[in-house]
Amino acid sequence: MNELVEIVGLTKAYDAEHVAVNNITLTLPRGKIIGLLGPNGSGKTTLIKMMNGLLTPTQGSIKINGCYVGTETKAHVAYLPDRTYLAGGWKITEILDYFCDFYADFSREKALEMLKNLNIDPGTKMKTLSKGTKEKVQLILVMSRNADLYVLDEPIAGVDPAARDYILRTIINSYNPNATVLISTHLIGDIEQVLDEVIFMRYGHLVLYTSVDNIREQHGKSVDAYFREVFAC
Amino acid sequence: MLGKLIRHEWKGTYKVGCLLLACMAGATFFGWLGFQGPMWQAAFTESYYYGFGLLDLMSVGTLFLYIIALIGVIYGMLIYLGVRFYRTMYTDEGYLLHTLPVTKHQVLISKILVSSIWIIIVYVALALSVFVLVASLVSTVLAGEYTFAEVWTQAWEQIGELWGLASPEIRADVIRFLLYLVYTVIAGPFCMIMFLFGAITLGQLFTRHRVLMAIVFYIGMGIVRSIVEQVVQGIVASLRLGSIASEYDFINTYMGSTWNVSSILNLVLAVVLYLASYQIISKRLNME
Amino acid sequence: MAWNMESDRPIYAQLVERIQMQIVSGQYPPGGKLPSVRELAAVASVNPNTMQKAFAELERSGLIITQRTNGRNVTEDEVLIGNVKKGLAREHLEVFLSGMKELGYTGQDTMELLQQYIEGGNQFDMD
Repeated sequence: MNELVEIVGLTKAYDAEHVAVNNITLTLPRGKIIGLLGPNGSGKTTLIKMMNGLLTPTQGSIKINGCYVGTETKAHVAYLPDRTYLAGGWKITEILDYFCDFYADFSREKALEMLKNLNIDPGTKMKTLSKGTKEKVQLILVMSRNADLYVLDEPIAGVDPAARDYILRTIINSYNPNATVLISTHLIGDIEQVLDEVIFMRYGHLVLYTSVDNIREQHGKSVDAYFREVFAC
Repeated sequence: MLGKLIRHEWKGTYKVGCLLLACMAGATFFGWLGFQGPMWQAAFTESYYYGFGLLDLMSVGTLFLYIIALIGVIYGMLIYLGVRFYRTMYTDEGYLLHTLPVTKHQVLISKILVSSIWIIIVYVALALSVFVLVASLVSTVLAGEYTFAEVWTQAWEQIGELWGLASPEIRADVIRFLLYLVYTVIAGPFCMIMFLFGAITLGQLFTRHRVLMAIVFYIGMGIVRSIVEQVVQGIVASLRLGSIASEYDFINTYMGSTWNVSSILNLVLAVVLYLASYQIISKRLNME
Repeated sequence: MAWNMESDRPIYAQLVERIQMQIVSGQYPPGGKLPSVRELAAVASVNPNTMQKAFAELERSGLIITQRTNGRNVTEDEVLIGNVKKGLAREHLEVFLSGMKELGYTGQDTMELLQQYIEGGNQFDMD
């Protein structure tokens, strides 16, 4: 029960040649901000989708809070997908209603405050927003929940530097010792100093899971630089 | 949670649903206009009429369009509900739906229930529309002699009498009649929707061309269903044929058994498709 | 504004230095109150756990004191702050002197040059 996420022997194979996630065993503690790092196509998103019940594992299991992924875990996992998943016809206020209805841990006040900070009018429809603003709205929705696990798939990929700083600050401000934030990205340098720990993935395999300070102490270089060295072609 | 899902599903569909109903109302109005043409007046009032004029052409054209529009609304609704189901379940929007802390039964039931209700509403609207047109035609026929209200009361009385006379003859069973009615109004739309949603969900079993596979399933299942229906009906009919005494009874029984076979088969298929869909989205969900 | 971190050393160690600097320079005066871990982590754009680790390190050295009710304060022990300041000064001097040594200046030459430099208003005459 002390461990937040327990992944055992997790494999996702689309067919014999295409194994997106290959036999990963991993335990994530509470109260950490963890980077899920790897080049494109390394299986990060596949892993995340399995943690959220959007993909069915070929083998292995995932437990969150001691429960297998399902209705119960979804109430405690806040997930930011790598795509726009909100229908264009929705007004932001309607989306807030929706989240209030379904997530007991959602705080409307928190969301409205963050929208205000980013100068986003809650009365606008999703389809009239730019791609970057849509991403911000989605992140606000996710971070307005008081979840045990936040899973953010490429949260900073498409946004400008000012928004990126805001996002990182939001993540830091939402930090609580019982919750863990898992952030997947290939832009390591931008978020390195926010991370406690890093997971390296390549070709669906788990390459490394260690703390940022460990990498810096043992190798005398930043995670970004170390990553480039490990994944050099 | 189910209540909330149903409420949001209703909120999500009512705009397009109402639009389609408005289309039907509009079509009904034009249909009514069509019956106001001089041809119809002439046809029923024994006055001599000079050939087929432009107005008559428009009248026939309008009525033709009316029928097309009604068919369009029914299929439009079915296609809309199918597309919406696909979009909210299996495209990017499904990322939201499938990460809600609700059970897969709740997701399926909310969608099937609201969609079935829409089909029922469209059928009721269709019946109303046809009723309005028939009523307007009857008023044209009886222009000046009776009011429509009088005809209507009269008709009801006649039907009541006819029923009273006929029911012992055709051995009509009121309970059975009500069962058919319930089946037609409730189970019919449910089967129709489940058939559609089931096909879309079965398409998700494939890695590629999921929409195409959904269409293949929809058509394929339709063909298989009618073949099975024919075969079972044949068997049932031949089993019964031996014990049939009169010609009249044969028809009655044949019609009855057709109804039974077809409705039971559809219901069984719908339940099987529901269970299959549930299995697929809870055990084999693979969002692209 | 996020704090810039060097890439080759642990972040918490750099945070410790940063906060030490802010204390000895008087930005956080003796006995003064420090921001919370979360606030300071947000300002610096670093992980709150890392900031916590830095604070723990500073507590161990006695430079900051955690009160159960009142958050964290800078120590009122000005002698200790003075020592930390001297320690930091020594580190700077070591770097400076080793640089000068590499250039070939002896201790004495360096002293003279430094004096000349300061008296000349941060410059000295070229021969």
